[in-house]
Amino acid sequence: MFFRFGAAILLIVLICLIGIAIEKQNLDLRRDLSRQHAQSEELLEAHARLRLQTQQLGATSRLMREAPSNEEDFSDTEYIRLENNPRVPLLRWRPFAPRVTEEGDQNRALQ
Amino acid sequence: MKSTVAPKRVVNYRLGFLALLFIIGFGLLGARLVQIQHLEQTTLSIHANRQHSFKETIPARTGEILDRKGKVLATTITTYSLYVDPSRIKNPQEFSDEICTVVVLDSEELAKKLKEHQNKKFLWIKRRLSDIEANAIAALGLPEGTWGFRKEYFRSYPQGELAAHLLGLRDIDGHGRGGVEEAFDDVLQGTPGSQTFFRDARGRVFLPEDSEFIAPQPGRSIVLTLDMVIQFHVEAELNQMVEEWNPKSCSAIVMDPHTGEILAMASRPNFNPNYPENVPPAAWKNCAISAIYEPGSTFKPLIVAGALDRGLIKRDEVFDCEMGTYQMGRRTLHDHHRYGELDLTNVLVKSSNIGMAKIGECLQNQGLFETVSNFGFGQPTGVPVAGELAGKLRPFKDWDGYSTGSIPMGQEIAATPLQMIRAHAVLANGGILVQPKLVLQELEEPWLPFTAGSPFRSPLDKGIEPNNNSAWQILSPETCHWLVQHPLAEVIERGTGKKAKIEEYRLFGKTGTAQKVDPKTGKYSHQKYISSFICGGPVENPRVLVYVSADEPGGAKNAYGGQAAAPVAARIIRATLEHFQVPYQTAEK
Repeated sequence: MFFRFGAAILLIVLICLIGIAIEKQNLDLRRDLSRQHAQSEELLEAHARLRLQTQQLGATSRLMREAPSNEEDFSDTEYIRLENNPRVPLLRWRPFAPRVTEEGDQNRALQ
Repeated sequence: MKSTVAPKRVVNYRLGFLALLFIIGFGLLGARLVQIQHLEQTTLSIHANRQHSFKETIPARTGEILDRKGKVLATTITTYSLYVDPSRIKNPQEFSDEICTVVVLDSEELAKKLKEHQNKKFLWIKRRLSDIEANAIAALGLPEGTWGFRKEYFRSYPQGELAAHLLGLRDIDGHGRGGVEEAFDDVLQGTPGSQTFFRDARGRVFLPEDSEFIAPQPGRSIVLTLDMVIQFHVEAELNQMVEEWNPKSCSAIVMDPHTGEILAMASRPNFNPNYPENVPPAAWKNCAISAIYEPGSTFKPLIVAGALDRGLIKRDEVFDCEMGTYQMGRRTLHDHHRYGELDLTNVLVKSSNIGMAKIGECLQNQGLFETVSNFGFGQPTGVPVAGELAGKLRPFKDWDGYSTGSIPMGQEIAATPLQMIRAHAVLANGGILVQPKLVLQELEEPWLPFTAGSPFRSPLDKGIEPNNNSAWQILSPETCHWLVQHPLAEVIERGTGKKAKIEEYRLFGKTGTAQKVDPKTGKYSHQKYISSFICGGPVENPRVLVYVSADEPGGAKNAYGGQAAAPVAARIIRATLEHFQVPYQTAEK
């Protein structure tokens, strides 16, 4: 009798605990969903602002008005200034590339 | 005995009376219970819910509008709007002085407004602040609980004035007004979400974790058929036209005649949708779809096509143009020059009114009406832009002998520039009446990278494929090809449209100089004209059509379509064909 009563109580308590656990999980998921929604809103906003900025900078009317004409004087260009500059830029391409020979001797190829 | 029975009865009556009172009392309570719980349940529960909870609508982010290459024409960002609680502001003058140090507002007026609304709990001060203004207000350190920011969406148009009439704009509450913004409001707006908030016994708002939240669904983005590079050329040319000819208004449209895709559309006077407060009233009108006028000579090729297709006239037929004066019933018609006999090509090249009247006599009113109706005049083209007019085509029963002479030269009928370019697209594409198209696609997620199958492409990438959704053959291809390659090409080679001749491409076209009706006399004016020009190219395989019209260009200078509109249209078509990399037709070029 007592065993049956105890088992019934235990069953009810277990069902309640499972219910509470599910409810907690549900709330956690809701919180995650809400957080994700807020994050996606933030990202969308950042995306929209950057997009707006790039589109304003690259607006057709702006580009068409500021595009250099073919007659522009190129005598003092960035390229010439680079040639005159004795310093080597950090990421300047090397005039050769490593080549692997059949023997796998890279050093010889580099010479 | 009597003395003992009498008090018992009295007691019984009293008990009975008391019991009755109880029954009536409980009966009333029961009735009230039924009234509250059953009869007025819905009303009262709504009332109770309103007291302890309320739903706040969360607006959805409006979709973007893009051109055919993916350039953003309209986008939405979030901004802050400043509100105050006037009931909590102790010193309105001091408060407004402080706000006005960072926001451009009249301090006196603001203080007056705050005093007037001192019983209210909410008052907008300035909506859609710039980031600088919002930061400055936040740094002011205004008393807590008296003010706040609310996030609101702000519509921005990064291309500025380009295609302003086609885009329209959004009002302060985010509703589309004019253009695509209004026509596609339901697509762009998305679905607003909602959040349920609760109030405690003291009226303080709180948000329990399990309150209902419905996320807003952002609006879809739409890709237009416009090409911003072509649009830029069109706008620049119209600006130059306004500077040179000073018309009351003018407009231009560029269309792919095979698909009906509108590549550019512009109207003057213009406005900048980013500053709606500065728009002059006249600038709201999109003259390309909302201005109707008698088309004049640009209408003539359409009538000739109708007559040729019905076999009523022949390509080599010769018309006697009566040396410039022709009595048609009770009306005397005149030509600008005195022409004798002209063949069909020359009737169009010289734009002879008398020659056209004789073609009208061949068609008769029935044939004229059918031809004009087939081209879609008298009804809107269906382009998805708010404000399109249907033009004016009188019912057939109202046509008389006068109409036989007037209609063939583009009088007694009123059309919009869009209707005119649509009708001429029939000649350019081999006889198919296409539906003007402005939207290429609706996008669910415009921020995703564009794939090969994306709508962002040149109209020439896909070759000639008619817009099959609503296209039908109204003229034979042979008639159209002959008209385009002979009379209309010769209009530019040696006729009224010589100023549209360019070295790079062979074009075809037709000038139009329609007299306006003088409202004072009710007769056609000899000073006020609507000059127009329509041209297409290349002649052998027309890929682009351009229509330019100007209302009273040059004031009293009587500028004809061939002078005011033709050079503008030619420059636009050259820029368009170059943009689409159509090879030059002259070898040395």
